[in-house]
Amino acid sequence: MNFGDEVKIEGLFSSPVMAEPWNVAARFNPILRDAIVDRQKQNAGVTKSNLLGWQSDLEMLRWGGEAARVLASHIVERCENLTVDRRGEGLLRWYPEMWANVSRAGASNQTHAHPGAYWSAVYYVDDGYQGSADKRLGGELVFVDPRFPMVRMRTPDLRPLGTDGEPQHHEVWFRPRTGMLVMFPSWLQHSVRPYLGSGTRISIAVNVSLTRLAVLRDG
Amino acid sequence: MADPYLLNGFFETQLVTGCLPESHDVDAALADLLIQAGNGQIDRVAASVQKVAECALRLAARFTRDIGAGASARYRWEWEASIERGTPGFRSGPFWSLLYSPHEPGRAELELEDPRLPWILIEEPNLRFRDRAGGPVWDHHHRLELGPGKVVMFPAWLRRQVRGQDPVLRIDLWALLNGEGSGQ
Repeated sequence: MNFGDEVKIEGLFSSPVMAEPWNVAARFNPILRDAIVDRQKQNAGVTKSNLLGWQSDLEMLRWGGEAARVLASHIVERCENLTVDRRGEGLLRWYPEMWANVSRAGASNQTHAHPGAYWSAVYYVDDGYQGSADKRLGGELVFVDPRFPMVRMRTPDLRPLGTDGEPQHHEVWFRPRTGMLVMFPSWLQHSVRPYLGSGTRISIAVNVSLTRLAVLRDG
Repeated sequence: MADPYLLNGFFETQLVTGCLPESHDVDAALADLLIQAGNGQIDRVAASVQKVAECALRLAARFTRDIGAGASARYRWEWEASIERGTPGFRSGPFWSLLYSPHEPGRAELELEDPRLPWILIEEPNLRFRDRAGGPVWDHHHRLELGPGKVVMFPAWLRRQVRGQDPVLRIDLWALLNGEGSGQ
């Protein structure tokens, strides 16, 4: 941002978070929902960062059918769009791993990251808000500044202004929308605030890791 | 065709660049002062140092906000002048650091290091994220030339290194609660 008097502020080293509406959501969301609901009936799920919510095993690409595979393929395409291999050898391949989450009132996820992956993604089959814009329904996806707590240790309320001219905050809250895909670096810590709606939120999480073809060949 | 997605860049680290007004009036005296000081302390009452410090105070006031302040200001700025060259490092106490080189262009370069290093490169060190325009690749060091008339301010905790043969002036800005001593 240039202030017109030869003073300029730049934002360095920012962390990328991508958001987009999935353009085939209307077609695939009912299919994904049915697959996830069926899986939940058959499987007790696992407990990791999820509090009160149901989280499936990591095998959704096996039991989620064509819709899950199309979503994974789209996410891998975005990995290609958003990343550059400086060496350009073409030896890296993206490897997605997928699971599902079902949350009812009170469910949340503790702050966590995904070591071992490069990109992580969340896709909202149903945001659970039932068309309401009421912020009291909670359930926001929260990203934590990777420089935290260093940036606030000495003077917590004193903030540098960002390139938008506003005081910088060290959390970003993202209110989900049905059909929305969000992608972020796997090292970026994130959480989900308690969902307080009366409906059911259904989301799909994907970790995309890298496989080096040379290693596979050698192996 | 525009990308169908929105790529945000969150949690940026600020780099403020500005002009030192009428720098030609002080550059020669400041260059002498820096060279004479060697690795020691610099004379903060010198007019040339005071001029850079005044610029630093103006920029700090402009690019900082106390989000918990009520009707009256809770913080005041104190400054300290030092010499910076060579060794990579950071400052743990001040809020902002400002650098100024009175030497001719090309004699001092500043390199700022991404505060997320090294973990963002651990998984696959040869991959880089694209920027919001999809073009240039975000790198993890930012380099810029220092020179007469140009001040550069950034968070004091940011690791950096000044490369070049000549020492440059650093003004550190401490944010102190009113009623609190500088403790320096």
